[in-house]
Amino acid sequence: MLNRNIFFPSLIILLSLIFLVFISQFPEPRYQDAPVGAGFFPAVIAVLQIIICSVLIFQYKQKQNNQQADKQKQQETNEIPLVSKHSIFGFTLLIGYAALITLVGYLPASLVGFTYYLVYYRVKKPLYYAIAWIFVFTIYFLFGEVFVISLPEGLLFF
Amino acid sequence: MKKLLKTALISAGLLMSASSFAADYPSKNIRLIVPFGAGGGTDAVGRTLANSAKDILGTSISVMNRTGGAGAVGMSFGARQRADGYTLTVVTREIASLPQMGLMQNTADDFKLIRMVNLDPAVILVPADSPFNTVNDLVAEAKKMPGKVKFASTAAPNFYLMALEQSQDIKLNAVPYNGSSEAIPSVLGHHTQVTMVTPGEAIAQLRSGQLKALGVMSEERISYIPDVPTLKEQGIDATTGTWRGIGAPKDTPDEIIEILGNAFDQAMASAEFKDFMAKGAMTIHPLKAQEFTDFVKKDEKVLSQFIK
Amino acid sequence: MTEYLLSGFASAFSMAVFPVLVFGVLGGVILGALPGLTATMGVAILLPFTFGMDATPALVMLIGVYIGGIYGGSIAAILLKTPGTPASAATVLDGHTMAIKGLAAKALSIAAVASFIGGLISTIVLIAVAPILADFALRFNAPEYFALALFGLTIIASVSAKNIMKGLLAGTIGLLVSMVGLDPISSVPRFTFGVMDLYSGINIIPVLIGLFAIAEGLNQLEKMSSDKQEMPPKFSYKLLSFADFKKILPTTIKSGLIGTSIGSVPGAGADISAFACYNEAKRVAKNPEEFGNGSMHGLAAAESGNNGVTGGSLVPLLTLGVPGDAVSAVLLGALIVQGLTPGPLLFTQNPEIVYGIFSSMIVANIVMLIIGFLGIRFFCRIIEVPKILMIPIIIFLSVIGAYAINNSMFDVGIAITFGLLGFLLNKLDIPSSPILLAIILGPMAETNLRKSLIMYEGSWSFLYDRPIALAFILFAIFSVYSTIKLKKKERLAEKK
Repeated sequence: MLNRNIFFPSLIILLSLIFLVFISQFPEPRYQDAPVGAGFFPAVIAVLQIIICSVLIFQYKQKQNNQQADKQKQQETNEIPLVSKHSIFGFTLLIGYAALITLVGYLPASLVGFTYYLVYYRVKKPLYYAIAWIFVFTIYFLFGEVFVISLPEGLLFF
Repeated sequence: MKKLLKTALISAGLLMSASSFAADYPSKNIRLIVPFGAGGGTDAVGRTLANSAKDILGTSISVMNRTGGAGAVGMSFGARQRADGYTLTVVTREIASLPQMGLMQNTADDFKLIRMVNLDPAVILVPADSPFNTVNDLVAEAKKMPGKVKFASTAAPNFYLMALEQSQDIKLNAVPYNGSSEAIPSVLGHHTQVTMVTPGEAIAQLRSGQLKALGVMSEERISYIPDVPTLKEQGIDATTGTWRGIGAPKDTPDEIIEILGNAFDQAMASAEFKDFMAKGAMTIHPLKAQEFTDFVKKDEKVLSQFIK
Repeated sequence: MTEYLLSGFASAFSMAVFPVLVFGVLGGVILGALPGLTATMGVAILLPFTFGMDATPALVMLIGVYIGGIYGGSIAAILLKTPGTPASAATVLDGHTMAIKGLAAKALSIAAVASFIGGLISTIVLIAVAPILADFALRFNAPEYFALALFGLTIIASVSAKNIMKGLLAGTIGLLVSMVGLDPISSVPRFTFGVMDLYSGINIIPVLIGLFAIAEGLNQLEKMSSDKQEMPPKFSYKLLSFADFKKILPTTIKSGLIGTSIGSVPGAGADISAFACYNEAKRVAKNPEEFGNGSMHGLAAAESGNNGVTGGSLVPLLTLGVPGDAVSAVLLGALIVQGLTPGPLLFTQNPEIVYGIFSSMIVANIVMLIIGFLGIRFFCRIIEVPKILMIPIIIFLSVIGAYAINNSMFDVGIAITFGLLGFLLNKLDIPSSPILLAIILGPMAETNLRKSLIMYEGSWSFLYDRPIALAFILFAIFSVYSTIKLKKKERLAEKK
């Protein structure tokens, strides 16, 4: 089984190594350079990151050894799932909403998005739908008329 | 996929637009893209011009800040909008320099330039108690100690400095700061010895006498600082500065460019705009579309000498 | 001076000025509370409207937005764990924990009082010793900024809850993120992969929105359905008592002073100040383990610290004619449009304007306090909004806010990415605030170190021959030392 306390630091170590490769390929500056170049800081950070992650893995292993006795507890902490049905839904909603905005602009996207969310959670109170729509229009008014900040316009509607 | 869809939609829009508009232009709000952040000099000029032009055009102009990449993001974004005259962009000198440095894909050719708005020269500034009193003092010092005179640079690379360095064959130690608001305190605090900014950026310190101007890098003296001699008067043939203008995507119909050009001419001549520019010590330089385009071409050539 | 101040007060309460002042503060509070909308944006948007106004009401309105905006961020930070601006990210640490414990009203009242005191101290210091502060600010240059940033980075250890290593990991993630973009010294593109939107680096606001607001939205969504048995906390409308007030007063005053000093240095703002004050309060606290678990001192320090910047940041503007931060850059524009010359001349040529600004800052702080207190009952209702409605509102506002900061869907993408990252990091017990702190301080440390090396032509002597730089480096070492000592103490306590 993938243990997140080992998997995540290992992933970061891998990423840091990839970053180090990128850093070595930074182009030469055209104009001026400082005695400490563009690659110095990122390289130091990547190395630091590798060290920190190694320590984290080590710490975890040690703790595991110490806690061999009450394995029960260890199991419990591991049982909180990393992602659940709801967070996946939330995430899809976010991406869907962002994509819809690019396509049709703020107002229709928000109305559709909010309504879809309420329907998904089987909300039956009409009041909630009303509040949702009022919220969307309030933001539309507040940004457009009061703050004069342009809200996203879609590609489809001119 | 998204890109494809976008192109398809935009070209559909173009087909529809080319035939019908112009006659009733403008029939809705215009967006003016400012490629720098809210609160900066370019933003202020854009907003004020938009404010003056809106009554002339009879439609409101909303300013949209789109920052990033020293202007590259906003200007490229502006170049790629629908060419229907409803999206305009404030173009700055960066459109001539960044593409040559490989830092921007779009160039001035992707725009139909409408009007130049202002042209401001660089002023060479030192602290009030500096031993330098003329540009030649500075040049002499730099010749004596190459690479030792500390120059507070407002950007990296700094084309103002390069113009002076190239003409006099000198080399200063350029310390890169983030714009004039960092470079000026650095000189005031004597951490660096000299800087170059536009008159508007240093007008407060010039008026209060905290900074001393060694020379202005324009053809003629500037009305806001009439006592400051040009470099030419001091025997140094170097001029440089920065400029701003308004552009539209390159396929915008000429009739619309015409309407907008006339509107901006009136806006630039309005009392409100002139007053704003005068108080900010910025020089209005209203070039027409063709002259502006030629000017940018010339500037691109000048910059190409520095960018190798 | 006194007469100018008095006539300043008279004009601040006049019919021409007072309404715009209240409008400015109120508008600022609303803007600050919404994710993605900052005080800077509010001030810039209002700027063209001031062209037609007289100088005093114009400046007063903008300053009102500024003061209100920095305070407004704390409301959302306390109630929803969604700081509106980076300046109130430190407020989340204790403010939101208090709200979870049912002490929302108390937390809000502490925030209002601490912001008020911070702002007031800052204004008084500004009036009294602006020229001295200006001298201090001018001594700051690349080496000092580097040392300050280094010191700031040591704060990561103290905001990283239980496991320092995990906090440091978050810090390095933030530092790497801050390296994305064109290198500010040599213009070399780093980790941009040819994407132009990345050339100027990753904007901090979408990151903030992602790490806090979106991550919290996803988190709530999961909680809402998984454990229904979790009772909402017993809610109390109790405000802070006089005894509490006396307890937090020393911390608040100290933080206000620290905030003023940090603010007076151009380029260091409310975000750094809030974290620095939090760190300092934790360092001297009798029971530092309370910090992060709803400490009144932590909340008061962060809030007083960020509002303390308001007066400080006007120091470079009024005495040198250079802006100390983005907001004062707009104020500089406003002054110039009014035909005034910012800088030392303003004091001699237009003292009525200068003292008008000073007195209206005091009035604006009072107005902010009143709005804060009147609003508490209203704000607290936000907690009572059913989760099922509140979650999508947070999520949608986050998307809109991330867009609005730069009119860019790219930033929305950044916010969503960091939202997912923040959500996963929560699960791994890795704190989010070090990422934010590192993104603010990373570029400051890097560019200024390299700038210093250019200035000193490759020599590292600036680290010890410039007193202010040296002082900050010693602070940094001391800060690391005291954190280690603290952890040892905690470990001993645990073993017992």
